[in-house]
Amino acid sequence: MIKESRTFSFYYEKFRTLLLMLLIILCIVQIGILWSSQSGSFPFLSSIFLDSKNSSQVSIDKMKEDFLRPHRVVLSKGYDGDHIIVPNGSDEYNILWDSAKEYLAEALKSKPSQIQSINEEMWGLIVAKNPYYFEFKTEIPIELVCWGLDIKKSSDSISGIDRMVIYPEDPENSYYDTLYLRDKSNIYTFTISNYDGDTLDTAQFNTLINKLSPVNNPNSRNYKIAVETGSKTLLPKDMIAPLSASSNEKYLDLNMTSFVGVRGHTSSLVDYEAIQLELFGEVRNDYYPDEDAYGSVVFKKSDSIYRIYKNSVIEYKYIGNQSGEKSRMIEAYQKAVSFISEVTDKSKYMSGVNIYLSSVGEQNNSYIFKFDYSIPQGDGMGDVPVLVKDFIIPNSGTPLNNAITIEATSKRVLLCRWVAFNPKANGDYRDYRWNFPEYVDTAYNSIAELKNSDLPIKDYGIYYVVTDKKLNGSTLSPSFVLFNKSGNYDIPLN
Amino acid sequence: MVFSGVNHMKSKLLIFYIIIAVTLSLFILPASAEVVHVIDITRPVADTEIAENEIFLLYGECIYDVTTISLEYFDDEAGEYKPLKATDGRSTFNVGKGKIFAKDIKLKKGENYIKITAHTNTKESKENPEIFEFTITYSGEKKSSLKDVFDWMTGKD
Repeated sequence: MIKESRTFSFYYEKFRTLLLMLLIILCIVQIGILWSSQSGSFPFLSSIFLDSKNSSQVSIDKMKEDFLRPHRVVLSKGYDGDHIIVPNGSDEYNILWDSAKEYLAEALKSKPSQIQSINEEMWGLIVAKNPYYFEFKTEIPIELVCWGLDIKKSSDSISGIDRMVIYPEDPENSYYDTLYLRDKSNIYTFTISNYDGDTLDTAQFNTLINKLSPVNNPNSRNYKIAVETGSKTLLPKDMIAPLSASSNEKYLDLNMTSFVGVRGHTSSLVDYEAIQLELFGEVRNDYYPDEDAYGSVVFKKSDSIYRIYKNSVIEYKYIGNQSGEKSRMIEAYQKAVSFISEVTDKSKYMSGVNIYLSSVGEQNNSYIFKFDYSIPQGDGMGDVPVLVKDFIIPNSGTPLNNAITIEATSKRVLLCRWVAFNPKANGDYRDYRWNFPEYVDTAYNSIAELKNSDLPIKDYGIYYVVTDKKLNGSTLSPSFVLFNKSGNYDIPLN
Repeated sequence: MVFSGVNHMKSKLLIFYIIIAVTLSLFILPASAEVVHVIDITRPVADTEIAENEIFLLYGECIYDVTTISLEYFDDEAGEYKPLKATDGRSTFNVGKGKIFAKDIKLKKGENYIKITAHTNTKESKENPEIFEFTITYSGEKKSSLKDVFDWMTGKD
């Protein structure tokens, strides 16, 4: 009897232990599911419970280099010769950029043979005289360059890359490959002596320049470099523009659509669900929908909030606890890229555009990354940058001058504001014939703020200028934009 | 003795007056016909320049809001300056508030004597335009013989 009782007790205890273990496992599963759906996910659990963040981690590797690509690549036949802009995203652009990365990786393994303080005229001459020129939207910090391009080792002396010039088999450098880098204060000259590659050699240059020359390619842009206007010119010496002869160019008109539901009053569940579908690509029950005092649609949960402003600016804000520990730029940038990757995967309002890193800033324990859009023109015609203008965050009065602004730490994205629109080509390409002096003249004659100002001009460009008013259902054509120390001024291209 | 000293002083003063009057007239006369500076030509960079390309960029930045600019070349056969058409087909043009003057011209082989004449819309400037004269020598495209030798040695030719 006693033996039977002991046996029963043994199995009962065993059952209780198993039950307890099962409950503990279920508890961990429950916590895992809950945490993995939140931004403050515990690393161990999120590695077990795969969700969208893990899939975006995979896509980071694919897209980490995308935002660091040069926004302008130029082939040059020397001072006073042809300077041909290679269309962004074209086959030729990809060949050149892939090759340039190899030269860059090789150069950064060694120390620069020469470091000189920036002299604008000297830099202008380097750009004009050498065959390959790569210009970035901003100075890309060297640690981002190394991470983005999988470069293991880097030269300590250089802080970042703003512009790059390559002269393979440089006759003035004993036929070694020469690479010039520029950061915000210096010009660095590297002599590459151990690189066996010949992807940018003279034969390749001749092939590309023949293919892109105006004789063989009617869409080609053969510009001049401002240093060729003389050393005393007030123009930025490395500015590239149609300075004398007019340039024939084709651009698309765009139909612009702002984010769904931002213009009218939203109150029904159906409306909220429609907005969620546009924003997240799915209806998410973990976000509670609401409307704030300014009439903006809000989706809120315990640690984060999405706010959709009526001017089609979308804001993500982390409202959970923050640690005060110092962030690393590379980790913060990875969080920013991951966030953009998630948004572009789910929402059509940031897809269909090329994104370039425009600036990097540091504040307290976080980093601010700004990005801008470019609209691909298709058919190997390159892309046209977007200038975001006159957007203001309603309840703070903060102006928004870039398409995407992200504040991030090593742990998470704290704030992201982006202008959400969906551009669609409206009809076929339109032809434009323009040159720089005539458009500067028109701008100074027609824009009141410019009437009393003199040169110098800081920069210029052909942009799609997107304002709050031009977003909803209007057709957008390219504009000529002048930048000087006071701001930017645009006139339509015609 | 004192009287002759006074006379001597008077004659010295007279000579001084004459010198001043002559000197002033020398300065004042050209001032009335002074050329108004209306443009800074930055390319060509000097009075003489050697070009390797057939197409040459003339560039300048104007000082006033309205400037009229004419291009001429020296015709050896005619022995005089004649209008020079830029590659856009014009030899005279106006530059407005943008103040940028940039024109491509086509050079002939050898020496090209180019004259740029510029004036604003004032009477003085029109009557006394600013004139620049340049000699641009087109030598033909430079070829690197060293490069050819290198290519031959490395079997790339």
